[in-house]
Amino acid sequence: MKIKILYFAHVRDITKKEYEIIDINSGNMDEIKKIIFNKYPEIKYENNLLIAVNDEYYNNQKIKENDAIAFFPPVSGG
Amino acid sequence: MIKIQGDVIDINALINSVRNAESGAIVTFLGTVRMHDESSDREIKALKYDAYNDMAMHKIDGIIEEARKIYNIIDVSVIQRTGLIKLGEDSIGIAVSSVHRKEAFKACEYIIDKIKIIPPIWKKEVYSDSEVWKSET
Repeated sequence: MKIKILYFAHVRDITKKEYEIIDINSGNMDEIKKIIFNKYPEIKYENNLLIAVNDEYYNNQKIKENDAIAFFPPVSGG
Repeated sequence: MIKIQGDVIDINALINSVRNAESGAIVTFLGTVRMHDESSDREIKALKYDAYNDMAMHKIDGIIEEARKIYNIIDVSVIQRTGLIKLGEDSIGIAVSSVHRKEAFKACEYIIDKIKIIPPIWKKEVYSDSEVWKSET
C-alpha cells in the first residue's frame, strides 16, 4: 500500500525533499522506519526523532493506505 | 482564531479578535526575536520559523481546548508567524479574554508553555555566516 512520508526542519535538510510516496507491505511503523533509515541513514542518528501519523503524534496507530507519516526533530515553536 | 502566517502579526487585529462585551480583561503575550540566546555566544541576526501547518493548527486548537477546561476564559487567539523574522519582530502573538484578569493571565501562560513543546513548529537561528536549527527540548 502507498503512504505519504513528510519531512520537516533538520530532517528535510537531510532528505532534501518535502515529501515522497513510498510503498509498504504492512501497516507496521518498523517497516516504514527501516525503509526511511536505509534511504537516509543520517535520520537514524537524529536525537529524539519524532513521528506523526495524520497530524497526531505516533502512538502505535495502525498505518493505512494513503496515511501521511511525518518525520521531524523536537519542536521549538513560540 | 488560530493562524500560522508569513505576514507580520497585526497586534490590534489579534487583540480585537478576542474583544467582547462579556470580558473585563484581555491578556496578550508576544514572543519577539532577540539577538542573544543563553546557549550560544553568537550574535543572532534573525530567526527562521517553519511549521507543519495542518498538524500545528490542530495541536494549537487542542491546547486552547485544554486551557478552556482548566481556566474560565472567554476567547483565545493565537498567531504564529513563519519564515524569516527580524530582530525585535514578533514570532508569536497570543490574546486571551476573560471576565477577570487572573484567569486570562494564567491561561495565556499555560498556552504559550504548551505551544513551546507540542505543535510541530521549528526555528532556526540565522547568524552572519550560517544558520542552525534550535530545539526547546
